[in-house]
Amino acid sequence: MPGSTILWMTLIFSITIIVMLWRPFGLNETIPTTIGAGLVLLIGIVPLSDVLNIFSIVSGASLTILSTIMMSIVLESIGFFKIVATNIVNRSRGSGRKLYLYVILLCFMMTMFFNNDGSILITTPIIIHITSLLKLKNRQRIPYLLSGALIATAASAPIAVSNISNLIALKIVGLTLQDYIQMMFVPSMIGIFLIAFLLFLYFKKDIPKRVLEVSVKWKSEAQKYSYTHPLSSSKKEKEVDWGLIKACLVIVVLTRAAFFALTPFGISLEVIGMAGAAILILVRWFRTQMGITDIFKKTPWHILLFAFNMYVLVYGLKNVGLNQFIVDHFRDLIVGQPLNASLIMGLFLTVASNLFNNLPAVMIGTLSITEMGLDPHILQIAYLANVLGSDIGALLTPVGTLATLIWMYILKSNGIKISWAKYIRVTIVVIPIGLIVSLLSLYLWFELLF
Amino acid sequence: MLLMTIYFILLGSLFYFLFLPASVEKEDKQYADHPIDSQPLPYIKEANQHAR
Repeated sequence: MPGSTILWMTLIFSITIIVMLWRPFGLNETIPTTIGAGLVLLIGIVPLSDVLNIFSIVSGASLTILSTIMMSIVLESIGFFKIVATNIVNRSRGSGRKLYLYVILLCFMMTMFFNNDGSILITTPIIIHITSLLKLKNRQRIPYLLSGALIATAASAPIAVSNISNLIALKIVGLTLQDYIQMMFVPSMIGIFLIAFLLFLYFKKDIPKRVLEVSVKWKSEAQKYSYTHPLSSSKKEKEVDWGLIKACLVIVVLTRAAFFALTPFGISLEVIGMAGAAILILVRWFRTQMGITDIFKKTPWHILLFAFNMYVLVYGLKNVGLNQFIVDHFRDLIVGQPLNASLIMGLFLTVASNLFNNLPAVMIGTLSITEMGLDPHILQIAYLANVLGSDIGALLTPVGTLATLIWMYILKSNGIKISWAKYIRVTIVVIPIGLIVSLLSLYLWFELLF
Repeated sequence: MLLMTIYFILLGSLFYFLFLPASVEKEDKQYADHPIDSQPLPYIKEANQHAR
């Protein structure tokens, strides 16, 4: 490749990423990536003949994530999250620590049932509302908000289906969902538990022992318990349909279980996800006669284009030789050495994610390791270390994941200020320990079982 | 992948019991609202009978 092409590609990629993260005037992240990817295709760094191949890699992952977002929109429209918020307040019964535990569990489970970005979009307004209702001071709210966001994002590592970048990387490496779970579930859960514990220790003094004891009556106030939520379909107060709430939870859980039970039979993830979302929409229609207009309007369809654009940009970097540079520098350190593969790739992805976001970072890292000519054992460790770096290590700065950027944006729009310095003061203590322990656990888990 | 199916069913059940409890028909008892000069509540009466 001529030097000018490398220069152009670096320039296009850098400007696109800066504008994407900066989002001037609230610009949607799809716009700068569309311009960047368009230029890369126009200049010919990525040939048009590769477009179909790229689309086939990202479309399945994007549709799977879109299906989980549709499900969360349905649940929100029937008052599901309103009930969750009310219950957390009622069940905490004036204990700040109980409230903390409920918040952490909610954030973890939301990512397990949906995805990391969706979890942040759902849980952050709930936590803001709860902490406002309980009249917590700003200093007292931070432990709940920050711990919730970090756990929600880190919780996307154990199962590949909770994060679009994990799904795309899974497709690139050619691993099955079952393989991923067998190798990744235990090491990443160890990391998440450790991060949760360290966060609790860090915030122990700031978590109030007693909070205002607010009791919301179910039959009266609870059903009028309304708040503004980004996914809210209506501001009207509605009666809660308990049968529908329970049925929807069952459908969400079964869809999640079906990802693992049905993919061995050749049914793709996106088909299972879309079928689950369709059943949920049908059940809602049957009970409430609500159509699909709200789902169509609120589903962020641009994710499909965003993922495509990002992959075109990363493919462009690969074509101008970035991957070869990574291969040349890391290959000899990794070949035949599983511990090195885990630590080096995990740390490399952490640095890359915090420099230019985890989605392009994990794509670059995964494409690079596939070109290193590693044996399958080392390739799998290196890939999973990539994922740990991009899901856990990326939490070091807000720029590392789109989820943390969304989180900061929601806080800002609600008048809650958390500076980058304040954020990093917490993550610099918690995340490196959580990451290193996860990477070592990954190595030990592999040595023990595979 | 039976284990993952079981895991999600357990996680779903835990979610249900933690965040969507069977307090459908239940109203919270508002002890503070109970008039101070009225008869004690039946379960307080019963508790008093067992007190030593």
